[in-house]
Amino acid sequence: MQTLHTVLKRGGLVWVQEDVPPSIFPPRQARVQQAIAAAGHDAWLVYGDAYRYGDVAYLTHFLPRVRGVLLLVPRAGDPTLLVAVGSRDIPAAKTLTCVEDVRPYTRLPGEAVKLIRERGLADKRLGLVGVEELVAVGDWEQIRASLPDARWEPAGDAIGQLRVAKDQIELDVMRQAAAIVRDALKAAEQALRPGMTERELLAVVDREMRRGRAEDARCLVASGPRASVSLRPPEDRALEAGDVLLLHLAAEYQRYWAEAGQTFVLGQTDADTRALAEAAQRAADAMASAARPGVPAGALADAALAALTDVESLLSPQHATLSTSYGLAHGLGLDVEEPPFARVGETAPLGAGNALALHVVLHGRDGHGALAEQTIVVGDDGARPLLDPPLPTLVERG
Amino acid sequence: MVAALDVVADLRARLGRVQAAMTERSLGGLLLYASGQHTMLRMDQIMYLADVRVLGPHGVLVVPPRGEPTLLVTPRWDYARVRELTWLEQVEAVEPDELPARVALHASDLKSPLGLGGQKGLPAAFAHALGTAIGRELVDVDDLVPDLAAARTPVELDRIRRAAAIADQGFTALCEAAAVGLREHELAAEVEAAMIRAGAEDNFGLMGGGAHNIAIRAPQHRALERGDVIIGEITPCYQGYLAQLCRTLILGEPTPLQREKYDLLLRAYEAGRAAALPGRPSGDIARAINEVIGAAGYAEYCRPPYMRTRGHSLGLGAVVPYDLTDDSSPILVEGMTFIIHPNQYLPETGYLMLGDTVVIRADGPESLTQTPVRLFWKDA
Repeated sequence: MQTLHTVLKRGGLVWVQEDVPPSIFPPRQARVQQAIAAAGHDAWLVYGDAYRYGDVAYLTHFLPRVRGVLLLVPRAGDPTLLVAVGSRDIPAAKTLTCVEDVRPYTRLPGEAVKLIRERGLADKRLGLVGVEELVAVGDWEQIRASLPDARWEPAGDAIGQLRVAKDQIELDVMRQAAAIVRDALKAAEQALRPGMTERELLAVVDREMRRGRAEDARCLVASGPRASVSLRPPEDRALEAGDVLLLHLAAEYQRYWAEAGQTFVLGQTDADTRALAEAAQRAADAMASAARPGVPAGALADAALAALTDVESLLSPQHATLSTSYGLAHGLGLDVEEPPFARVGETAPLGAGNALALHVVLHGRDGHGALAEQTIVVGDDGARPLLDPPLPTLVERG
Repeated sequence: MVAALDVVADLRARLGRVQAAMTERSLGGLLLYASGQHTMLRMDQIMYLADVRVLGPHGVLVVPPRGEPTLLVTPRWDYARVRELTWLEQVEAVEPDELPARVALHASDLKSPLGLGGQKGLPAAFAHALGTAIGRELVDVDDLVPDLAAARTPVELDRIRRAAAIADQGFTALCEAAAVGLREHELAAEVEAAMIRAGAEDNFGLMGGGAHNIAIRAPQHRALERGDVIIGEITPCYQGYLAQLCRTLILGEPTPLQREKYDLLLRAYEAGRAAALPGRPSGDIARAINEVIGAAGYAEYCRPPYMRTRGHSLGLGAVVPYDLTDDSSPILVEGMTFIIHPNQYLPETGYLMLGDTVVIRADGPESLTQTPVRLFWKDA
């Protein structure tokens, strides 16, 4: 789910090779080089930034903390990584990646052009992955102008297609990320009390996730009257007895994300909140039941919306449609939001190995609301939770 | 305190200055872009005028030469938050693929030329979509707002002061929590949590420890050891504004050599501060610092790859005077905020850190961070 991005990834930043062995990267690079050849290209330029780094991390394990990173993958031979750090930081950067040739840049255009020329690619066909979508327009125009004989072509979603089915190593890492989130939700449950501010709650969960080795941690809340309105970054509102609190957390571990969330009630749950929480859970369960290989991703949204029809009268008239704006389900892994996206009408089929974040956010009337979240993995015979057992949707803190 | 200041009047005055500059440049309108990626390295021009950070991936502020701007943000579900936080009356929240057309609609009444600011963070594909939707050329005026924002307004300065106080609390937490056996990322977590409780909404935080540090870096999983030199760059964000504190903590009593070399940083720091006067080029600060360190025999360590800058602007991302290097030319004016940090790699001690956020006053720099200017150490 979209959250407010931080100015820097500030968690512990290392490569835990016991969890992500270096041996997984050469086959990935080889598959991409096959795709480069199949496309008739001479090389691909793959760009990622601190938010959308999945394609680069898939091939290198490198994680940009701030700004961007450009990977040049030739059709044959070794890749080169341009990272936005000073030359003194290159030894540290090299500890984060399998790529041998790591170079610093202060300004991307000059170093990118120099690299492309050095590799003899200045008049070749170059495929672009994430470049036009993420590189600043001025930088990109400067690169193009400096290499007038190069032929730039979108490379499509070939790397995304390779990433969409997670293997066992990836799922194991995602389970560790999910465990970090689960522990933070449990810490929240222990800490929650009337008088505590949303920001104090953030301090609790952020500390828990960072001590749990999260590289990045995100949080959205909706408490009290705002449970009827929208999720947002925590602010200084003090929680009150009787409040409903929707809490969404996400953590990144070894480049892989997991998300989870719960609905907390500071006191006794009333009938409306219980009905909303049960409906949110039913909608999430309906999506999990519908998730099978070959099923169009949009079928999950259809299943969720069908499960919500009987609580329509409880929803806030102004904010009832936000469930679909948050996104009911999407893939996650190296990016916090990635294909497949379970939008209404989406025809792309699900496949075995898809990891899907399901989140049903319901804003009711008069401070009522509910949030049900879980991450599932699509298998040949259906979906199962990434972390079993999933946490309950509704938690009372009397 | 912010409560005693008229935030809306402050923001309206900023808008007035921007609209006056638009008139001077004969602009029929101005589009300011900000992505959801907030960075200390570039100014958030929408935040400067709208007083809200967009969730993203995109946000555009449509500024007419007179009258009220319209803020368009993504995603749609973020409307209520933005509406509550901004003083602007006209706010729309849409899905990302709807945004170019909505911007075009709001810009359709504006005369040419239309200026575009915030391009350093504007992705090429979105720029293309925006240009296509608007159907006329956009003039690059990326410098218009940053140049006007060189000196802090009262509200901005108040927020930076609050951020600086939070940075002080963060370093206090670092000193209290640091212990042999604690892992670097756990120490960073304690510092972050203390600052969040104190009001921080974000932090550009780097922290590392070791017997001989090469440079500041992200925390790792390494356990702290007796004798470690812990260096920290602590940069909390309060209501969109950043302040930074750099200090060094030793786990154990400093050696005479460490004390001697830190004294060098202290002298360089004072020299840098003495050069931070209104009317002087910002490069004077870097030159003053480098002169002290160079005279001690470390001139080669004042240049890359060891060192790059002796400070940089702080507040709402990078604004004038940007980086403080030997050849930086912006003239210092009252109200500018930046950090002076004579952080230095020395071959005998490794990397040592010292730096404070200051605001330029008529008689020199006023420190906004209040942590004592000295080498810190604790029993281990």
